[in-house]
Amino acid sequence: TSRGFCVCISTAFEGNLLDSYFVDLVIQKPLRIHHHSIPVFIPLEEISAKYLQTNIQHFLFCLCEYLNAYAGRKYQADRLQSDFAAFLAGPLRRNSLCNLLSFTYKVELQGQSVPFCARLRYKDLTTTLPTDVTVTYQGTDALSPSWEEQRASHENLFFSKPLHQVFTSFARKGEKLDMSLV
Amino acid sequence: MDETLVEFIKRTIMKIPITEMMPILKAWDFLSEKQLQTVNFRQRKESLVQDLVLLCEERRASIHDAALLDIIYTQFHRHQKVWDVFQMSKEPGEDIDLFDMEQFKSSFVKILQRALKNVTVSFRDAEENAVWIRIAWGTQYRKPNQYKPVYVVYYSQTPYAFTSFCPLKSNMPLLGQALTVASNHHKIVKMDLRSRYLDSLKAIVFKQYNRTFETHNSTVPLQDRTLELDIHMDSRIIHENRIEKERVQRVTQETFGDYPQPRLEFAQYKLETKFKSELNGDILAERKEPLRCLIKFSSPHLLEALKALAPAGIADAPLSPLLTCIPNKGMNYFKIRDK
Repeated sequence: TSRGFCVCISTAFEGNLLDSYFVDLVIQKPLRIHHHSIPVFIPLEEISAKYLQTNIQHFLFCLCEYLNAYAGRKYQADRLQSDFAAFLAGPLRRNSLCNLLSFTYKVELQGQSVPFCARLRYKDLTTTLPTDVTVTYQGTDALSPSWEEQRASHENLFFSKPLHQVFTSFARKGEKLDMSLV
Repeated sequence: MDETLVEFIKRTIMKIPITEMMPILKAWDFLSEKQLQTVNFRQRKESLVQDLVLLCEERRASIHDAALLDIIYTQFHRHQKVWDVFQMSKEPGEDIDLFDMEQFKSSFVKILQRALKNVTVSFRDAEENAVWIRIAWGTQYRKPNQYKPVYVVYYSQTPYAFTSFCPLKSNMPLLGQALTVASNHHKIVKMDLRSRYLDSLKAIVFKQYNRTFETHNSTVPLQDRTLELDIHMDSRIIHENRIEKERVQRVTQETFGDYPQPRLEFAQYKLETKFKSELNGDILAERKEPLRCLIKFSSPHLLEALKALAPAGIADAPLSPLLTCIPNKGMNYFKIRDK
């Protein structure tokens, strides 16, 4: 540009191209951001304060990390809401950064529909997998050992695989989708 | 049902223009399809409102149902309120904010109710992970006044909150505290930014008003954009002051950009400065105390008006930075003192 340069940061997750964000920089001492299209909840000021003046490559890399991770988390949450709504027994609770997801879902186990509540926390904003997962049994009956096994295995699944992939595996395992909503 | 509640519902429905009646009632989702089908929407408004109020009574509407209707009406008519902007901040080095909307709401209500038993708080979720909050204030001995509520619009995990003008100023510190604590912040400060146009305020503080970015195939050389008049005019006509006009156009474009300006209705400058005069022996310049005056620029669309000043020949370009800094600084009322 006439004043400096404009950087376009494209985000993608699992090979899907997602939103692009721009940062327009003015070459002056000190280097400053003229304007940008970074969402307000991404900690741009913090990242700028740390790296903009000293190491612009690191600044861009860091920003790219945050944006790609945000885009990835958002993609998973959107996929869950649109493609696996049949499994959800209530709305998906989320926030702007998509770093806290909370939902109740039902799975078919031994011919019965078992309700679980999952709470996924992403404390590291540069990752697309959760740092904390809690899955709790929501039913009124006693929790049988085999169901407890399932619950624990679900926790592990949510830790290790993207959200929508976990549900894809649920869909494949179950003989039929549970269409009833609480 | 309580008489005051019936009256409140009646007055709230009465405010709704006939053309918006259906969309608002549908958004409210309180009266059933069956009930709405029994209503004649073509009758006189007073009779229509009576019918609707009766249906609400049938369904035993609560104060929260009525408050929700009030929120929806306000969302449709947000320009009728004047909005202030508050900015919150955290301590440096704090943990990542795992914002939970339900926790925010319960925390917010708890803080208000601990201090003030008589208060009605209602929430309505909105897009972009935001929430509209309606608060009707009471006192220790009086029930909440439903006719003077305050609205707060908060987008999760952002430091900004938008509040409608509150006539009962004494409750603002409590509101600020509730917002700050519930949203995991430490401090809250009122910004010097106010307007009826909530969406413009959001565009200004979220820095969403300038969406044009130069990418390698989008830059248009400046020459192509100058004085479009040329194409249509006779080549025998010479444009006067062409160079100056081009300069003004360029400076205006650099300052204001090519995008539509966010909408504000005023900019106010409170001056406490010494009068500066080029004339010798000017009485005003001899005053020891600073001059106090208030200058207010008003317009249906202030920033577009300012943008048009230099090209129209009314002001010199570049305009004073006091005028052009408004969206960038997120301020539209200023206090200016001598340094």
